[in-house]
Amino acid sequence: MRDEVILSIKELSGGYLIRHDETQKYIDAVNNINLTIEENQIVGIAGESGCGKSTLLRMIYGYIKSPLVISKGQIILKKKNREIVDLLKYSEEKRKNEIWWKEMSWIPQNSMNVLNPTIKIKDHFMEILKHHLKRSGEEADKLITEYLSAMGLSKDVLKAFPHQLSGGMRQRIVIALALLANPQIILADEPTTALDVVMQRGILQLLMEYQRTTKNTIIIVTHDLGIHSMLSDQVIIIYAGKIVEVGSAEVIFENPAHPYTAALLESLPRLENKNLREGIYGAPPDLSNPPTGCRFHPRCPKAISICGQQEPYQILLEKEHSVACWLYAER
Amino acid sequence: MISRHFAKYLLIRTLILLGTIFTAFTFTFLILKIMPVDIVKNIVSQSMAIAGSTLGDPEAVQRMYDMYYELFGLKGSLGEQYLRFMIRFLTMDFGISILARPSLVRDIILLRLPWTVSLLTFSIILSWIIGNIAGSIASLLEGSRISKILQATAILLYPIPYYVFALVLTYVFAYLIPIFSLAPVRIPSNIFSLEFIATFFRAMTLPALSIIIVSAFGWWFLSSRAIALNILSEDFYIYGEIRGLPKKVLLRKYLLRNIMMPQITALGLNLGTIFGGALLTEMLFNYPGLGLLLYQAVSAGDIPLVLGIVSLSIIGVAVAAYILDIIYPLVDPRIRLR
Amino acid sequence: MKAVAPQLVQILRSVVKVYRLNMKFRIGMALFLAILCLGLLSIFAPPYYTYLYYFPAGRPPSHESLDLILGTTSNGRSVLWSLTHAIINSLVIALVTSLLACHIGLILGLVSGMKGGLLDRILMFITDSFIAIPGLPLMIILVMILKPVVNLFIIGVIISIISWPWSARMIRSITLSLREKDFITLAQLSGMPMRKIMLYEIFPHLTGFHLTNLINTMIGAIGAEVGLAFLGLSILEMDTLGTMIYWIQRYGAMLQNKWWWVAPPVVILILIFLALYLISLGLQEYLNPRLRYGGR
Repeated sequence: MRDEVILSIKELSGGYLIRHDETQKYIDAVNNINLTIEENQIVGIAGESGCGKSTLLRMIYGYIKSPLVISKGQIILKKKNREIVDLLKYSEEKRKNEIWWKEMSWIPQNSMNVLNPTIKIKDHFMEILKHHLKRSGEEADKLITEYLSAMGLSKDVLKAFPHQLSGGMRQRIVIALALLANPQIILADEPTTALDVVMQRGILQLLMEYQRTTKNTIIIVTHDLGIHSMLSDQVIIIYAGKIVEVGSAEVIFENPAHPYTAALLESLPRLENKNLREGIYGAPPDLSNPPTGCRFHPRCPKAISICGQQEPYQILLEKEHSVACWLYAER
Repeated sequence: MISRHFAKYLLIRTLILLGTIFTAFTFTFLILKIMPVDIVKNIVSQSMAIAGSTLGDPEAVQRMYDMYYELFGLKGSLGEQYLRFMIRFLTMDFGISILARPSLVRDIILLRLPWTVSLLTFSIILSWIIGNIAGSIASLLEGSRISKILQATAILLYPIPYYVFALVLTYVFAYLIPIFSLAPVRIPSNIFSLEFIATFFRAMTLPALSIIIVSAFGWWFLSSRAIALNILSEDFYIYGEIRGLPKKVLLRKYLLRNIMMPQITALGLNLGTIFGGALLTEMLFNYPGLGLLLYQAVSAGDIPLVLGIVSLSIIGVAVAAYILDIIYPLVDPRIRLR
Repeated sequence: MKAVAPQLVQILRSVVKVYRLNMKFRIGMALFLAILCLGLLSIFAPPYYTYLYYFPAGRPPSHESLDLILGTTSNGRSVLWSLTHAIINSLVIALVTSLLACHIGLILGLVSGMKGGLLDRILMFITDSFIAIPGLPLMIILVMILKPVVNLFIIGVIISIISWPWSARMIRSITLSLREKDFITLAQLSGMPMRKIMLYEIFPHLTGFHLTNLINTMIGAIGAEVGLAFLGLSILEMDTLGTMIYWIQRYGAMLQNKWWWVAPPVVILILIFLALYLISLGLQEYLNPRLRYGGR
C-alpha cells in the first residue's frame, strides 16, 4: 500500500537576482523541479555545494528573501486537515500563520548559534506554544515539561540561557523546537555539517527515532552521501539546479543510473575498495550562464551529441526510480 | 543571581573608576605645574579688580595667596603638593569664588547642580530610548521611502553639534515664533511651589528639545540602525523569522534586546561628549544650570569656580559611566551568569 | 621627489575613482571644495580688513564694493573677509588637531594591539581614563591656563588632547582583530620580523579607518573650537567660525535681526559639517565592499 502524497512540486524554478553596480545578473539556481513527497518517509536531497539544494529547500519552506525570487511553479501541500493548497499562492503573512512550524518546520544549519542569546530556553518553547499552538500559562508549562521528558531532556535546561549549554545540548533543543508543533514535514538544511561525527550520529539517530514514532516526513539536505545511505528512504540527486536522478536509497547506491550519480559514488571511500579515488573532471557550471542541453554534459564521460542540444526529461526506469539522461531515452 | 564572575567584574570596574578620576586629576596637576603662567597672581589680581579697593588689607591678600598656592599645589615638596591638591579636588574645596564672593565655590555649584542633573538625565535617557527604537524600526523598514527619508535626516543632523542646532532653535522659537523667552530664569524661592515646577518645565523645554532631537535622530538613530541591520542578518534572528514569530515579538525580544547591550556601552563611552554639548546648550538657553555658571565663571576669569565645575564634571561623568557599566550585566545574561 | 610623484598620481587616481563611484563622496567633496575656494578668497583680502570700525558698523549687504557684499558687523568689519578668513583658520585648527590626534592614536593603538601584555594594559588604562574625562571642561581649563600663549596651533594641540584616546582605542581593536587573522599567522610562521609585519601586512588595512578617522576628527575639532569660542575661550583676535559666532552672541546680532552677519557663519558651519561627514561616509562605503554593492 502506497503512502499518501502530501507534497507535490510542479515545475518549480527560481534563482537569485543580483544587482552589481549598474548591471543585473540572474543566477538560475533551481530549474524545473518536479517532485512528489509522500508521508512517513525520509527524503534525502544530495548534490555538491552550490547545486541549489539549499535554495530548493528554502523555496519549499517559503522563506523567500531578496535576492531570491521564484519565477514559476507550484508547491501543492496537503495540510494536516486534508485541505489541498498551493503554497506559492500564499502571502508571507498567511504562510507564517498557517504553514510555518505547524505544517512544516525547519532545522537550520548552524544549530549551535541559532538560539536568541538574551532569552531563556523556556521562553523559546513558550514562544512557539503561544504563537502557533495558542497555549500559554500553566497549561503551557505542563506541556513543555512533558514534552522535554519525552525528548529525553532534563527540566533544568529550561532555566538556562543558550550560552550556558553545550553545543550538543543546543542542537537537541533546536530539534526539539522543530518537532514541538508536530508538523507533517520537517526540513533539515545540512543539520550535521558543522558537527563532529559523534554528535552527527546522535542527531541522526534522534531524527530517525522520531520519524519512526510519529510517521511524519523529513526532507534532509546534505552533500554527505554517507548520511543519505544511513537515513534516507528516498534519495534525490541534484546537479546545477536540476534533478538528475530520483530513487530509493538501495537503488541509488547499488545501481546508479545517471553518470553523475555514479561518479559521486565512485568518489566515496569504501571499506573494501582500496583503489585511488578519482574526482569528477571539470567544475560545476556558472549558473548565470548555464550550458545548453543537459547541464552535466560538459563533464560527462558518457555524453552523446544530443546531450549538448536538448535538455533531457525524467525517464521512469523502474518503480520509483527515474533519471534525467539521454542514455536511457528510447528512440 | 550574582555569580563570582560578576563580583570580580564589579571590583575591576570600581578600580577603573577610581583610576580614571585619579588620572584625570593628576593630569590637571601636571598641567598646572607645567604652565608658563603664574595662575595665582592672575587669580588674586582678578579678585582685586572685581572687588575693587575693599581688598586693601595686605594680610588678607597674603592669606589669599597662601590659600591658592596651597590649592594649586605650589607649596611644599612635590609629594606634599600632590597630596594636598588631590585632597582639595576630591573634597571639592576650592575656596571662595571670585565671581560670587564671599560664597564658597562648593555651595554655588551645589545650588546649580540639580538643574543640570535633571536636564541631563531626562534628555539623555529619552533620546537614547527614542533613537534606539527609531533606528530599529527603520532597519525593519529598510529600503522603503520612510527609511530613506529618516536616514537622510539623520545624516543631516548627526554632524551638527547640539549648540549649533540650539542656535537655530533659539532663533525659531525666540524670535520667529515667540513662545519661549530667552531671558535668564527667575528661580522662585519655594522649591515645592507650583510656580517652581512650572518655571522648571518651561525652562527645560528648549534645551531638552535641542538635545533630544539632535541626539536621538542623529547619533542614536544612525548607530542603532547600523547595529540592527547587522542583527537582522544574524543566524538567531533569521531563525526567529523562520519560526514564524510575529513582527512585534521579533522587534522586542530579538532586535531591541540585542541592541541594548552595545548601545549601553556606547552611551558610557559618549557620556563625556554628550555632557559637554549639554553644558553649551544650557548656556545658549540661559538655563540656570552648571553650563550657565561655567560661562559666567569663565567670563569673569574665576578659575577656582571653573576648576570646581570641571572637577565635578570629571567625577560626575566617571560615576555615570560606572553606573552604566554596573547596569550592563543586568541586561546581558552572558556576563551575569557564567 | 621623483619617488613621490607616482605615489601622488596613485592617490589622485584613487580619489577620482571614489569620486566617480560614490554619490555621497561626490556631493561631500564638491561642497567641501566650494567652501575651501570661498575660504581661499581670503588671499585677496585688503590689509585693512582687520581694523575695527573701518567700515560703517552694522550695515546690511550692498553692492557698492566687494568688501560690503555681505554687509558689515556690529564692530565695523566686513563680513565677507571675516568669513573667508574664518573658514581658513577653522580648517587649519581642524587639520592640526586631526593630524596630531589621529597619528598619536595610530601609533599607540598599533603598538598596544601588537605587543599586548603589560604595555597594552597600561596604555589602555591611560587611554580609558582620558576617554572618561569630559572633553569640554578639560579643554576649558587648559585654554584658561594657557591663555597668554594661545594661537591656532596651540588650540589644535589642546583639542587633540581630548581626541586621541578614541583613535587609539579603535586602532587597537582593529589591530587586535587583524592579528588573529590567518594571514598574519602565516607571515609570522614564515619568519617575517614583527616590524615588517606591522608595516606591510597590518598597516594597509588600517589606512581605510585612519583616513575616515582623520576626517571625523576634523569635524569634531571644528565643533570643539566653536564650543570653546562660545565661552570666549578661542582666539578672539583672529577670525574663526567659532569667534564669529562669539561676536554675534556678544553683540546680540540675532536680537537685532542682523541676518547678513548671523547666517553666513552658521550656514557655512553646517555645510562644512555636512560636507566632511558625507566625504567620510562615502569613503566608508567605498572601503567596505559589502556596502559598495548595496543590498543586504
